[in-house]
Amino acid sequence: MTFIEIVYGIVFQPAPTLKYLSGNKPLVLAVMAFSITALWNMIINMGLNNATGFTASLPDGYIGVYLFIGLLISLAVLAASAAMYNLLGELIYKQANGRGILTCLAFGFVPGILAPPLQYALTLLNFNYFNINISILAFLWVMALQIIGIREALVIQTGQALLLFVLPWLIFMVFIVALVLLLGMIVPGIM
Amino acid sequence: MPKKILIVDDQKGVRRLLEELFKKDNWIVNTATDGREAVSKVSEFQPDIILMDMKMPNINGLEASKQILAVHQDMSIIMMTAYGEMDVIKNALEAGVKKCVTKPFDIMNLKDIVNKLAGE
Ligand SMILES: [Mg+2]
Repeated sequence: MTFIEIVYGIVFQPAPTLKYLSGNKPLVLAVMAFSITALWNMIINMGLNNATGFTASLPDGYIGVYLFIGLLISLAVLAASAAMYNLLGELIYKQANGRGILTCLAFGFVPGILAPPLQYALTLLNFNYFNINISILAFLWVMALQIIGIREALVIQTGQALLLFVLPWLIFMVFIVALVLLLGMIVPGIM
Repeated sequence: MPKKILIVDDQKGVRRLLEELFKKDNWIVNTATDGREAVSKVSEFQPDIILMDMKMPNINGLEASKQILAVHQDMSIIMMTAYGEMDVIKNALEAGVKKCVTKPFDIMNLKDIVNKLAGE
């Protein structure tokens, strides 16, 4: 599939396209698509902040640095989540496909490109109620695609993929709760 | 003479992936979406290799392989199974399937297996 076919497929035929990607694993294309989406979101959001009266205190020359660091962080989060899901997938379901998961997660992020411009348009039009919902919809869309991507890459059931997807967050939450409780025990009077 | 491969899988994404992979290597590729279609295509297409998914509607991969092997005893069939289906793999090999690969398979690894089998 060409790049255009993949992007079209992600939007209109997500499951077969992600299945294809999980086997073909065009990692360079995937990282490119992810980076363009991430950069685009950061740029539009900067414009959005300006439009809503929040003027960024960023000197002009630092915008490039801001975007570069933002992109690096996004890529690091992408790589870390793929690694995490691959590890958990192998531990729990004995199924691993690291490069496939990375490719699917990256391409699954692409429809997120639609959220900022819609949000921007609606903010300019003062549709504050819708603007929140559109971000949430785009967020849910990306999440659904990434869960389907994990399912296709590891050849597991949808429920299993969903569990894998939320598990790092559950672990993180349990960790935070445990930390707070522990702190409460060590430092008297904090709770 | 280019070799012929029949790709049998109910999932469109898998068919597309494998079709592209083997076409790039100058194979003549034909596809089927289930066991029944595979059985009906074999006699006319006369493939050198069949890549057969296990889990499919109508007739599953094992049953389709048995029906094909009953007519074409020397047909090279590679079965694609899910993880942990050890009994299925055992049945398939006993039925005369040449190789089993578990999903998710590595396409380069699969290509090696296919080329080796086709070269014999
Ligand atoms: Mg199947």
